Amino acid sequence: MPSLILDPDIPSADLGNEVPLAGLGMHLKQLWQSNEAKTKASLMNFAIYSEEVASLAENTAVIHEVTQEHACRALLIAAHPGAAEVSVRAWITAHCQLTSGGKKAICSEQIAFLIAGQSPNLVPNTVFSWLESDLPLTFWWQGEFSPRFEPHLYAVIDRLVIDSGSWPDPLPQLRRLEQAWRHDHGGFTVNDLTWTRVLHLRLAMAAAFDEPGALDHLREVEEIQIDYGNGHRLAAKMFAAWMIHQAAWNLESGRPSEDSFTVSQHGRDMRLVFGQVDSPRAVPRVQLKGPRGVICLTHEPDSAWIHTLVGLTTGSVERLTPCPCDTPAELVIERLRRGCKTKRYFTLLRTVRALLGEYEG
Amino acid sequence: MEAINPFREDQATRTRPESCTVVIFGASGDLTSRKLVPALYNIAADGELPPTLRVVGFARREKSHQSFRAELEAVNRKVSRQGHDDRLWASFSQSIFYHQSEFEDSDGYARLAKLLDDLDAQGAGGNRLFYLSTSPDYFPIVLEQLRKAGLHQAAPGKWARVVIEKPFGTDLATAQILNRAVHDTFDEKDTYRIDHYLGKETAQNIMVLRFANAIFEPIWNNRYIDHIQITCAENLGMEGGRGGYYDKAGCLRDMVQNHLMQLLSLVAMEPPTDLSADGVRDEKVKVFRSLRHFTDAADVAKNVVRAQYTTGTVNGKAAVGYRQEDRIHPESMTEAYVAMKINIDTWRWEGVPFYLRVGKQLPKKTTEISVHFKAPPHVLFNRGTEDDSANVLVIRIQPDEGISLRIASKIPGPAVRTERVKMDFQYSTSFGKASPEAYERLLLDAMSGDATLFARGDEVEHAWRYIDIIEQAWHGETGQPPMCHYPAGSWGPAEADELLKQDGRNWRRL
Repeated sequence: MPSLILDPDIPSADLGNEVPLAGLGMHLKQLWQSNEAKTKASLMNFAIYSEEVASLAENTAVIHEVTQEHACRALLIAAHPGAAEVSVRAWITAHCQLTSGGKKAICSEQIAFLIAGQSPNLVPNTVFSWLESDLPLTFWWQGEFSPRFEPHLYAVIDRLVIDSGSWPDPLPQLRRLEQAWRHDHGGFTVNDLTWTRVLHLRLAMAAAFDEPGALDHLREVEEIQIDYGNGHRLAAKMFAAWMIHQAAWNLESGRPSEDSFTVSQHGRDMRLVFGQVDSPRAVPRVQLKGPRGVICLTHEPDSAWIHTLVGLTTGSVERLTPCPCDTPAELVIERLRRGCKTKRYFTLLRTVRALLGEYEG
Repeated sequence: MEAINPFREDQATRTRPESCTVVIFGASGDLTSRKLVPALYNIAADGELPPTLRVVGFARREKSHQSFRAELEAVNRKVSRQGHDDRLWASFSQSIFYHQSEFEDSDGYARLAKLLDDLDAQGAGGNRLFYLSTSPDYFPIVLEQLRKAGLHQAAPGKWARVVIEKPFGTDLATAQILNRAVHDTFDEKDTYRIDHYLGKETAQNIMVLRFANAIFEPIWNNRYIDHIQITCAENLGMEGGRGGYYDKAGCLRDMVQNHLMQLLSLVAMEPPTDLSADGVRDEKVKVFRSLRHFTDAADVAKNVVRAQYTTGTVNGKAAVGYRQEDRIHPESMTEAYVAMKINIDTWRWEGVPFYLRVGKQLPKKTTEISVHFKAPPHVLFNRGTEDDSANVLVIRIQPDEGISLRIASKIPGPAVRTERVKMDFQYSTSFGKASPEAYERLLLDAMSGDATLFARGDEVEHAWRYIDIIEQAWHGETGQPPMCHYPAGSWGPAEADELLKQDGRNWRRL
């Protein structure tokens, strides 16, 4: 047996019962026969892939949270391509949630795989025989793309979940993503959790410009300041790209290394400045200043709300926008509730790449 | 032309509610504290509340803005679907105001106009949604006073709408009078007659089921469907003082004329040309126009069963009879149960009866529509048997929302024997997330100007036209159909069972 069996990072108690791959189907059936008070539910196949062995335990916790709102067949895959021998181990368990006033347990089953070694199509061939037929596949690829992200794999994916903010060097990864999407003729949609991270900020921004006088302010904005928390530079750039795109501004020039840019609106220049601050929030503050006043969105570290201040010479209004997404599980839950427009995402990425300095020189 | 917020462009999965002031008449009532304000709070919690929305409670009792907010907060803590967040409430409640006035007092409306102007000056936006949640007797009075105060007319580019709670009239004549009173003040396009059943996810899903799935529409007709049953059962009686209202209204007016007729129209309507409010409502009106009216009291007696419950047991709890209930006249002739057979004279539904049953103190609370398909020929698996192997499609409106399909399946084993099995879709297991309350959806729609889920004036009148004939037969001078009885906790009177038996059918066992 490979040495991984003894790896202390695999808490098999959380993963459920380890079962032989050959008998997996039978054991899954037994899981449901043993308790009639439990109802198996599934709206999709939800796979999480990671090349970190320890991810199995963390992702089991994520699945437990996700299944509170999205019943699914969960497939957790931890790959260890560096292992000398090829081996596959599997565990099964169920995540049950009480509904109907606590009378009924709705359960989602989980199959966890630990796949060691290298063999052609090992991951797709092992995992995809356990997909529930007719249900869509949402596939969360954790970390940077590896050689295992290949056409055999993404051809069966309906929704690909990624978190571009977790990539140390996002530019080549984003290019790889776009290539795969085009190669697959747009066969899968892309759900980037970094994009979801600024969803509620976008909603709050939209709401701010419903306030009387705010659109006049927008036409005269002189400076846009976007602060981002530790490790969330890409989220801030995505938010900025969205603003530029929505408001039909032009990105004129800038110094990406200093995070300072010039954008224009009807021939009038505005400063766009990014600043890193010490905050756990992705984008803790956005401020648009102009002669009519300021619009400021603030997301405090301990608050589940985004605070909006529309402080204009005509009057001042404050409002709260819910921002319940923080953890990866919450982001996924939020993402799965919504549809997605992948074409638009890739359109925005062009501006994001410019803000990251891809086209410099 | 109003400038467009560019940041809104790509986020709308539905029409965005506009900034407005919601004025609730009868704001001291339960509906305001238990339904309307929690609905607005939950919309705020979802981040969908229009910016600068204001809520003005209009009622007769003396109270301050602060005490009104405190009362609402206490109830919201108990009933809010998404729980109660102090910080959100603190922000949301600043938008709530109280206005004390008698409903007939012109001066009170002049002061209301002033308050609304002040709120507009503070950024409320100038749009107004008047919500009539008073006793129905006050509907015409409030409408007239709004007109006299000029509140029905919006400023240029703005709107003024009215939402009217049920009951909309007590018969055709009163509904017509009320419609005239409404139209004297508001255009039909600005009138939103609420029927909260239409705000339920499951009711909205009827059209999706029928028109977004290719497999149902081809068989949704008299060639394949034998009959349709609509059941709305309640396991409560007249608790909480509701007897006073109920004994005047009765089951037919309280439930059938509005909720059940609306469900029936969604099941029976033709595909609309589009999903606009009038596109859908035009088709519903055609259903109402096609209802075969009863000709006389004898025809009513043959097709409609009315009943009251007698002493019995519901869920192991002793229950008194209808006439012994609180605020019920001891010799009341008001029905607490109705079962009826409805025919729709259209090409599609010729020969397909719709059976409706609705009542109080039945064994359980459930609302559902069951579509009973014709039985397969008795030539192969069911030759020589009396097996009821017909397929039944059940749309569960509440509780346990979902859809199931009954099909025949072979019992495992060497013999070829069939058994009925159920394919089941449940909202709770598929979508997990709790559905929004009906009032949340309806308030959002009213603020967005989408009247699809609200009844139109002619719809209401057509429904009353049909119901009036039954009421007249029941309360006429001669030939009154009998009042039947059933023990509380049973599934209704024997006469209701007989209504289907005479057609060779049975009520679905629930």
